[in-house]
Amino acid sequence: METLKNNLPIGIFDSGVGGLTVYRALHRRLPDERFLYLGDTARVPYGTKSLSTVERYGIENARFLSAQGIKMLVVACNTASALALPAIERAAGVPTVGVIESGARAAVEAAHAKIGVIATEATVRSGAYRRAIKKLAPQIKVIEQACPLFVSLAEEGYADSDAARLVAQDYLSGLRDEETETLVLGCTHYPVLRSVISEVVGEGVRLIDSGEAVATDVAAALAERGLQRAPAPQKGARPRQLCDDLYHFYVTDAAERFSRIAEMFLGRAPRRLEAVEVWGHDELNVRR
Amino acid sequence: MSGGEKIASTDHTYTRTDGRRPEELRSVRITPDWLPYAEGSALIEMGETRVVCAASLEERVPPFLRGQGHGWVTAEYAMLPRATHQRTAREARRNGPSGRTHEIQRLIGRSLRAVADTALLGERTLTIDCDVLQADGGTRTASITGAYVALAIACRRLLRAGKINRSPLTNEVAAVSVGIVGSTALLDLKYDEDSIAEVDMNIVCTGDNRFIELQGTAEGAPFAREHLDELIKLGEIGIKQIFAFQREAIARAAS
Repeated sequence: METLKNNLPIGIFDSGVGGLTVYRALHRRLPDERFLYLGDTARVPYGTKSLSTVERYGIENARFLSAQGIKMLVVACNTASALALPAIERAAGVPTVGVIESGARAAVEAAHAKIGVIATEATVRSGAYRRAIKKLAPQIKVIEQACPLFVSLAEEGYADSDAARLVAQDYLSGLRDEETETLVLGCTHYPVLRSVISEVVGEGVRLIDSGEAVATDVAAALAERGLQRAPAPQKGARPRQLCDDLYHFYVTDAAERFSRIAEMFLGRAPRRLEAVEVWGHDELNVRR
Repeated sequence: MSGGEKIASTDHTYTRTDGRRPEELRSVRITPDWLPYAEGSALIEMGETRVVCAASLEERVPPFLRGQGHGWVTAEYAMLPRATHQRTAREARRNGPSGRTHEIQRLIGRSLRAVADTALLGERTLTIDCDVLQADGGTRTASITGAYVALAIACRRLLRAGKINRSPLTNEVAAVSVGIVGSTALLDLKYDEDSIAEVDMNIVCTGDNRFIELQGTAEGAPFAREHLDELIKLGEIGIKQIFAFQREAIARAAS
């Protein structure tokens, strides 16, 4: 019997729009699942905040999604995954998967000697990828590079532009000289710039999209716990499309901007998008 | 699985007319102090269902309680004639309340008394009037949720005014409807869902997640124990959120 436990959606949160690339990867990998996406657009960016603030934001987001009824939580935000995953999982009360360990595992599986990691300044500073990779394969050399402008380029629709190429050449020349065989896209925005990054570092470098890596881990975690949703029966099933009305999106601010960027990232705007508050005086945060 | 048909997933079989997820509440809005004269009041809106709840204090108790020093908490329920699609005659013009009205107001009263220590009221009665302005399914559960808010606001005021020494409220109470429609377990049924539901259920819970009442009815084929468990879990998701709305509304009320 298909139970509620299986039928509930998977929650995804990110500090903003970047996590949409994780959503896209999850949608592709798990077409029978439903997803709730929360973009904390009012409080983005997390990368410049202190640990305790990022932890508080993460907990509030987790509680909000958990109250809507979810069976699993995906922390699509690299910063929140790096700094506060255990606290977020406790608040969510459901199995929680972060992006860092998944990305690190996928990179280690693909690499022999050297792994490059590009991420936001905060993620690089936290050393979370380096730790996660070294834990799995201490012999591998990790080269990290912060690429802060990539986020703006992706959000402003400059993913495939000369400006992006110029910035990428500047940021990535060191990595190219190191001849890394594998490069982790350690920020959820970066997959949008994938083709430019690949062009600059060379076709031979394997790019690890942490969204795809986390989708593999989420699929495994669902199977392990027997939480998969039953596949749609062939007859009369509605084909699932990105952003259709079966996926619900919440933002904490600027829904219009989110919608615009979502359309750019995913090719279509969310059918169901709602602005909410996830903070408040009450233990359980409510939707207005 | 022992009998019953499987609860299929929404997107494959049943799509809700308002596009909600199966486990999604309608938009909930509770406006405290909606009526100026009542000791406590609230307007509760669950989507298009709207109920005004007003708590009134009277310095007397029903005859069966007289001389015992105990108070009483009770509820009355009514619907405006045009709360429904077709006009419903006023009950005052008929021979008193219908069986449905009796059943509902008893349920509301029982639910509130489950969280009220009437000994702390003295020989007084708190009556909560629940009047439905517009009915779109779930009026009895919305009434219970709204009645608790009106009652809590009233108790806080009576305490401040020194009319009682301790709040008689020992817990919170909220209610929600769940059901199975098109073989899909749904939270917070609208009228169009309620009217075709295969299973219809009302859940009344305390703030610490214990049950006051579970009313589950098969409208056609009997339902399996697994379905009951599913419906209760679904109800818990909704009720947790409703408690948050209640707490917020009570905090917002004038003290």
